[in-house]
Amino acid sequence: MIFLTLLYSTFKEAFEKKIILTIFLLIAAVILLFLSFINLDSIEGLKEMLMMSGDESFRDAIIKFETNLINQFSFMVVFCLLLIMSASFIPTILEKGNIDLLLSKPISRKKIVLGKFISVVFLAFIIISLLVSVIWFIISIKTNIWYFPFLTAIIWFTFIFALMYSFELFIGFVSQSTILSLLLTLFLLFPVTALLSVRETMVFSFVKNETIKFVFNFIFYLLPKPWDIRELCINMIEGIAIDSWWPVISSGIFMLVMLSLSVYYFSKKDY
Amino acid sequence: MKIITTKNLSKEYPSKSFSKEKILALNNFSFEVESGEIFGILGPNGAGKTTLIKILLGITHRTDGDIKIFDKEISDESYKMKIGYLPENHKFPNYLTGEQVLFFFGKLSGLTGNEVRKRSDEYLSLMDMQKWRKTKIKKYSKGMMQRLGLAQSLLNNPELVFLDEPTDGVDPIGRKEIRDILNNLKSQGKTIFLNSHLLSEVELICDRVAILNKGSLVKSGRVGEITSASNNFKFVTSEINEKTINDLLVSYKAVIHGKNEFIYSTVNIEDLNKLIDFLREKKILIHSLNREKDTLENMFINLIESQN
Repeated sequence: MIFLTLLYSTFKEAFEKKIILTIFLLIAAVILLFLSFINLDSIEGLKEMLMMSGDESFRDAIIKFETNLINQFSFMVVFCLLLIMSASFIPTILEKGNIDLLLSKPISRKKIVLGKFISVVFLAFIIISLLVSVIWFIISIKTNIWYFPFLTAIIWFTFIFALMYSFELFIGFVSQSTILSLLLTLFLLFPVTALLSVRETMVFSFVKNETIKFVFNFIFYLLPKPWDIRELCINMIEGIAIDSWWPVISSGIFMLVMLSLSVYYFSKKDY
Repeated sequence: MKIITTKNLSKEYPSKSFSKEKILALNNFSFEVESGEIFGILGPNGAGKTTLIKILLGITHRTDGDIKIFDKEISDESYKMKIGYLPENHKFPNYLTGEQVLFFFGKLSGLTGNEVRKRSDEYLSLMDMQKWRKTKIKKYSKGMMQRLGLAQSLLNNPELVFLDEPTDGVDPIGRKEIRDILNNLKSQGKTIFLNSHLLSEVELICDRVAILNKGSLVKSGRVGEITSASNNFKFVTSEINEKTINDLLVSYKAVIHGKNEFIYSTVNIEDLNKLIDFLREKKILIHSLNREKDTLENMFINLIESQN
């Protein structure tokens, strides 16, 4: 009941602040761009050529094409948009005059934190679902290859959003500032976790000092691993065996710690 | 039956500067509120009134002391099902309409959709806000926001209502309507906890008041008791000549307000009668004679000034 009410208020806020409209316009722009791209003659020619080399290689090429759509750049753009969208939710409920009313209602502070978290993650889930499924649908219609595992990206991307949002939520509670929580979360996504994910393949070729390497590794294990989970997601879609679930487990622990800290801080704070 | 009981309630805030000294917002504050009464809390700015309300509602945590509301510890959130609250300078999300505000906060109070709709109709009518129900509240005036806030605080049919400056920004007619609503609630057996700067208003509607200063309880009691009659007698007479005025000043220490008005202070009723005889001797007609009563405002100002 309370979760539904908080969900309603989150959607209403996102709708009235034109957050949903902005996101959908951006998604429509991406889809239109994508549609015009796959209608180019050269793409048609490439399609014909791949089909001639056999069904399996055509199918593999389409899967590769789909996974390439969730490359580092589009991944960062989508997550930046989602984090911008969600940054104001907590500072808004903490505004003087609003928080007093909310806390006078028969709801525990824990439920307010978790309810708001779940509502925002659900909103992000809908946006991600729409984006991924529309792109998948267009490709599938165009190629007649209906590769369903691509849709698992919805779950993985929602999970990545949830763990980044848990950090944004905590900073939002502590700082009560939309700008600060957004900047710190974006900073965590890029460059911090992006650099940490390539620390062995790139960073350590420049860094020779063992202490610095240890510090890098230590921070890597503490922080969430959105870029590693994105890799893991692509591997799963392409049917490549997963070596380690560690990025998912440690990121899940990070999210739980952030949520616990948010609940603890919010419960102790005087308003 | 006691609805609110606090015992040695204290609240310390950490200092915002670098000194280790803490700010004492409430100091061993003990009081009780009886069921069905309108209880007023008074005090100058920074006295700790809003802190007290926030502690009672679980918005701010106490540092020390005991609180019981409906005979339950406030750590048990269930008491909030039976309370309503109108905060000072409340801020509803401005993208909502009046109706949506009531729906959102009504649902948070644990009401069903049907209950919220039915009671919204009832309270929006009571507050004369029906025609504004579908208007976004960013277009509301201060008075309209107060009426909506009051409707919100009553939506769950609470037994105890906390009102922090309920008539702030409301015109005199609206204030009278709000007073009538509060008296009506009282007649229904509801308990009202009121914080208002308008002492004349508090005097009109409160049964009992507590006066807070610098976090401590200074005075409490029934309004009629603490605004007791003074020893000042106000005379309105026919015109008094200069010589008699001089006599009044010298012999009776009267405070002259004009040629036909003066104040005489005495605790002795015989002295008062002597003065009346004196005036009759001088052929002065007494048009009226009233014993002055301390207003709540006078009493409050004198009390706070003597404290400070």
